[in-house]
Amino acid sequence: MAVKPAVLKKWIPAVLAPAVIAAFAVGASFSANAQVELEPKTPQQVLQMIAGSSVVDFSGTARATLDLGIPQLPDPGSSGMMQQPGSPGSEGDTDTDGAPETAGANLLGMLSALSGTHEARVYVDGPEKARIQVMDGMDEQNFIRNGSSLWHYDSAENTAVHLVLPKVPRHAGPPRHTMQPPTPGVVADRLIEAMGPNTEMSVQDDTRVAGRDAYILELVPRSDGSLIAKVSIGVDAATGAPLEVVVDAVGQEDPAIAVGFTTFTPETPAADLFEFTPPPGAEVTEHKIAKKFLDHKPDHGPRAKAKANGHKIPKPFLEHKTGAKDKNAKPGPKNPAGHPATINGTGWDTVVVVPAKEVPKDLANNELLNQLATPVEGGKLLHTSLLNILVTDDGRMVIGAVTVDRLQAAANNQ
Amino acid sequence: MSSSGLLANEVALLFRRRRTWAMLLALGAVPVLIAVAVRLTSGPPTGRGPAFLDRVAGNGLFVAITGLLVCIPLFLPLTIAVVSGDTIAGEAGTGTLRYLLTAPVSRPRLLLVKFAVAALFALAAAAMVALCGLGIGALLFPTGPVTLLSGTTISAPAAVLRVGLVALYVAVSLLGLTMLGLFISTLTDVPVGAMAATAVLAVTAQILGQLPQLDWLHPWLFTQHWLGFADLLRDPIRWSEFGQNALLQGGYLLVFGALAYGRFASKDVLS
Repeated sequence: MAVKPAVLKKWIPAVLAPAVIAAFAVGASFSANAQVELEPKTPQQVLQMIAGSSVVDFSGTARATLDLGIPQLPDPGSSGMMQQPGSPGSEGDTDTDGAPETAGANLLGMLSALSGTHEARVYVDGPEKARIQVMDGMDEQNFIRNGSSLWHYDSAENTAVHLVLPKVPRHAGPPRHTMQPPTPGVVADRLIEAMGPNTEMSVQDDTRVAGRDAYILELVPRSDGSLIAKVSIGVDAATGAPLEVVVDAVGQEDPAIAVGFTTFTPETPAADLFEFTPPPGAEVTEHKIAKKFLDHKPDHGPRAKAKANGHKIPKPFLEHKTGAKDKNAKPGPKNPAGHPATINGTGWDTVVVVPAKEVPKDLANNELLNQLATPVEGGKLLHTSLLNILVTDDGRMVIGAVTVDRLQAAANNQ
Repeated sequence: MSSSGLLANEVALLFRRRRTWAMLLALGAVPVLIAVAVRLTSGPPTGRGPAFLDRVAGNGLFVAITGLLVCIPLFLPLTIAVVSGDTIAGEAGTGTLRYLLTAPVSRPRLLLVKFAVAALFALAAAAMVALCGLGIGALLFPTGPVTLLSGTTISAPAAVLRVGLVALYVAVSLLGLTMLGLFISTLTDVPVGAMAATAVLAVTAQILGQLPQLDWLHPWLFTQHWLGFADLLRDPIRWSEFGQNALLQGGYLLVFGALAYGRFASKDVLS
């Protein structure tokens, strides 16, 4: 039956409206990924841009996505992490040495809880003032530094933790060793430090990150045993500030780690953002840091604090993780004397072997570990897409961002 | 009849109905029930129950927020489904649509007026929950400066303003569903069918939003930002969620408004 043209005409808006929206959506994504033409740069020049970047005042929204290929667990990490503020001693060791062995299964539970996407607003005004707001559904975690005063506020529990840093002469080196929020900048710094001649570097100069023209520095390990396929660092073309770090794992389509800004403004944030008074009714805990403790490890305080309270926070983990990598790259200075772990291989293929007596006794019987580990030749294997941990039958622990074969070979060589 | 006259007429018709007031009162009862329950018991332990519930005992202004939070997944969509599903199908079902159209009112204008009335109800519903929450909260609990999610404390008047913003956010969130209901209402002469279909869609969209396998679909679901009003309780306020939500609802208005026009303008009105 023929339909009258007059009737057909009535349906024109119904056809047009989705078309307009589709065009709008495509246009928006096109302008977000629009081809930009930047002056070509070598990897070295981009590294210099990062190093020479003078952006110390900025605000932005950061997004972290973690996909390590481990199963989602029914929040086992929270109970484990809850106990840790009660035992600051052991917690301190774990944090400063960056050694996963003591964290063990707790770390794994934490990783599982961290998997997924987290969003935070970041405000930084110089090295002394910073605020990170981690948005977590209807709740929010706040980390505020204003000079020597450090605050953590948890809206879900309505608790606040206050830390006062004693004044110490700033001999510890560059400011990033003090409480600098682990922005993509810090993550990038650590990764670059760990790089040796065993990395293939290239630069992409036609992308945008956080809506800004950016260079992408790509690092590809020259190793066939590494679990890391590629590390990409997005660098703001205008300021040289690192805006994004993406770590791709071998055989995984989505990035294993993606930390980056979705918005970025290199301007000084409002000063009152860094003023924090605990709200009335909040439970406030005061912490003091022993002076001698601080002299030895200037970066311990804030990190321990962030870790003890922030098991939902992706960033302490990232710092922790890259810290570990850092250690692998430079075993000498970072590895205190008397720490008997041995290091095999260099660069991306580094494997750490922890002797049996250094592995905590309860680790072998840990329920969580037993659930997640798969039996392999010579022991039990804990596999994540970026890190393999082999607990051998004789109790040693072999850790590396390499394939199982390499771990087994390293274990057998001992 | 002039367009504004028609609008006034339709608004009066809606708010003269006993059904409309029954729904608004039921919505208003939700925060009252919450407040009374918290008042009679010692209150939930910190971190349990719906977000903000543990704060109610300390500050009555949170009753309004908790009430909106509890109402948005089901109660508010149900009432919207009833009002928007009834718009055209109700008139068609009782045989009054024909008479309405004999007045010199063009069909698109009638659709527009019907939508405006339904949207006004969405605003009234959100405002009802917020106002009843503020009232009962002030009556049963101490009120005063309010702690935002970021730990900043703001004065009570500023907090009331934030509650108003949250109510506005909720009302805007419901606009897409309102237009969806209007479109479904043009498809049938049985108002109950249109109401049920709209309510089912609201629930279905929320279920789809829970399935991680469908994450490519999530940004297009009209329910996607329904719980995003927490961003208005941060310091500084994060407007991006509000903007994205408004954009999404606007898209639904455009698409289903055009569909409703296509259907209604080409429909043979026999009854």
